[in-house]
Amino acid sequence: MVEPKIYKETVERLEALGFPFRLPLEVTHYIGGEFVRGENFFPVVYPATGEVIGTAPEGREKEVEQAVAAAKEAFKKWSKMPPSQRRPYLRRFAEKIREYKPVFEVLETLDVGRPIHENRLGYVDRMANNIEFFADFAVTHGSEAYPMENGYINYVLRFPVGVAALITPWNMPSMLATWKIGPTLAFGNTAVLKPAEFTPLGAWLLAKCAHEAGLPPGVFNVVHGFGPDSAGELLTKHPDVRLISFTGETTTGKIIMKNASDTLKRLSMELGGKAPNLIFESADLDRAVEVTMRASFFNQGEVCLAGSRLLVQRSVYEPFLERLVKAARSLKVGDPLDPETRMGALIAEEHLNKVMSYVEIARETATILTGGRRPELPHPFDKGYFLEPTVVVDVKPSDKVCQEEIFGPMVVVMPFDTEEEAIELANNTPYGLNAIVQTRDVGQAVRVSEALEVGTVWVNDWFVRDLRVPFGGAKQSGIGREGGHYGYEFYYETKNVCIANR
Amino acid sequence: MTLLEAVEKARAERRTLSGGRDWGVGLEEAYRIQEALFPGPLKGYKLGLVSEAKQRQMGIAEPIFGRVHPGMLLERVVLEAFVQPRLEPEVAVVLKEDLPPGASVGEAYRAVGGYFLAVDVLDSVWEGYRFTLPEVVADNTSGGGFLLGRRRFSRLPQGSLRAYLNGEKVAEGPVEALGDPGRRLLWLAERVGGLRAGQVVFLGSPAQAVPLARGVLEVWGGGDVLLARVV
Repeated sequence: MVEPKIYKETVERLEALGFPFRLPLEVTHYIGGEFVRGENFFPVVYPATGEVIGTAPEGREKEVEQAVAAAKEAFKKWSKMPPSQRRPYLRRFAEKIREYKPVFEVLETLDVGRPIHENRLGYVDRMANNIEFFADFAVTHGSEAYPMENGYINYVLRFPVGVAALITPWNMPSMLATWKIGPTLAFGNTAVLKPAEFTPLGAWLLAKCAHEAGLPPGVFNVVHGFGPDSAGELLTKHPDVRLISFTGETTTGKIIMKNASDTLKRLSMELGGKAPNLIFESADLDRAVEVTMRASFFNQGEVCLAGSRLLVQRSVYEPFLERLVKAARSLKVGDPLDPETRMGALIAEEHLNKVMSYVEIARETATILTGGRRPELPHPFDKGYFLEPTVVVDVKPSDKVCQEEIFGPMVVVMPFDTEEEAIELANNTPYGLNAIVQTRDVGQAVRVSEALEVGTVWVNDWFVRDLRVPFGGAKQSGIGREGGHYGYEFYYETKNVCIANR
Repeated sequence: MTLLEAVEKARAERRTLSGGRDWGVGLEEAYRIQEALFPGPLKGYKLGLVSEAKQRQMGIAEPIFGRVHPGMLLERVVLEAFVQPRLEPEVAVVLKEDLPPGASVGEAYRAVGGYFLAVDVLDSVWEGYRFTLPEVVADNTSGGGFLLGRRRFSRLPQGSLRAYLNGEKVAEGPVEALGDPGRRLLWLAERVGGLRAGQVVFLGSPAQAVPLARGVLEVWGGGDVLLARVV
């Protein structure tokens, strides 16, 4: 089943890095503090070559039962620990992640097909920080008191909820897992992580980190598998799972909500997006192109936050497009492990086909200014799921390619004349995750930011994350906010105590 | 103190010397000192000063060479073992046949068993790598340690050699700057009285040497990568 070349190189690479696992890559579950080999294995495919580089087990009833039971048992003690006692465990967890930094960098690329260059732009440090930040944050927070005029005082207590199912997507697997693991564990809950089936490697190494950090057994568990009729669905229906934090497609999010309703779980949903990237005539065009290139093609455009709808003021439409196309054509696509590569492969063949179906629509109904083709790459990358960075113009706002989330390296560009028109276009999709506003006019930045129906606005930049600020989507892009104290509503149970003074 | 004694002592104590002195030693004498300080059995040789620019800078019209011992071939790099470690991305040749002095270029190429990506982990007792020609030659042409790639190329890889430390590019140069490998081997065989099957020859670097640091070291060339951990 294994073509020798890349498989062998992968093994050699990991060996050279002192990779601690047995080879070939046999991913395991992590349940109750033990690595469980599991059964019903499915292949792990390297998107850049289409090769099978390992196997992962599919968790079903047995594994989900065991993991939830282990998390429920561990919750008894973990939830009663004061945050200051949980903090050293989580700091060690973060330290372990940093220790395995070069391995995470390679595994993320093998999982996702993303250029290793992008994993080296602070990715692993951010993973560690996601855990460390919440460990510290949980120690420092207080609560509110509400004295009443007629002889009563109220005060608010917060306490952990229970077992959390963390269901994470394949585009930024290790990063998004730690976004959820951090607050879940720091606020006293215990977790079962179910990573996307395409990307089991990072979660496997996270389990290793948790294990070596000495986290009490059952506090953090990993069960691999699929969504429907598999580990994902079983977790969302399990009566002992009290919270679900999900990041992924809107359609999947709706199914999870239905599944979770019978047992009335708490839900935090970060779903799809179709973010507008508004470029006004006062914008610094060089900067706007640089931000747009990142927002369009980072991680092959497989980012829910991707600024995939470019709205460009007509007075700068031509010069902006000219620069953007030039930049897109010079983006180096190819071997993701080569440090010079700037765009890698899409996650899987079926996903490439889905993205290509939008390219075909664009070919019929619009104009493809650049891209739209599979790049010609040398063996073994000719078997990978690559697509050139693609820029599409001559579209109508109601077109499928302007309304639906494509989740690939393809952006659509529309001109506008006035600020009002730009806002109307920007808000004209079912999604509302985020937006980018590029302008040097402060008043305009304030007005437009206020008018956009989204969870996050970035002005003159993209994907800057401060863990203190709220993160989540409006409209069909999600429910709830995570980050800082905004996550309290989800990760903590809240209790009010009302005391009479007599 | 003689040049031999000075280098021997500095190497043993892992400390530096200030170079640029006149020891009253010529190039041939320096090679004899090198041989005395770094005797066989040898795993092979390294070439230095392969570019004309570097040769001009040192006032010489040919490369220089150093001796490679079996223990100098490394799997990973431990910085503590070196005085002033630097790295150069290189290509190495492994011989499958003996190459006597006076052979032809065709014979030299036929003796080549394969080409490999390589790293020369340079080390020098001379402070800041400031030395005279006899000084560097006596100090084994800054021989430290070597890493060999795992993939065998049947021909000299084309394009550029790139070295990265923790993902950041630190050195780059075109493979063609290494010159004609067949002629290099002939020159070396002439110089050392013949090369033997199984020996490895490091052909020199097309780029400047750069300080080595902890982390992950990668050398890319010919579509392949050599990867090693530096601790």
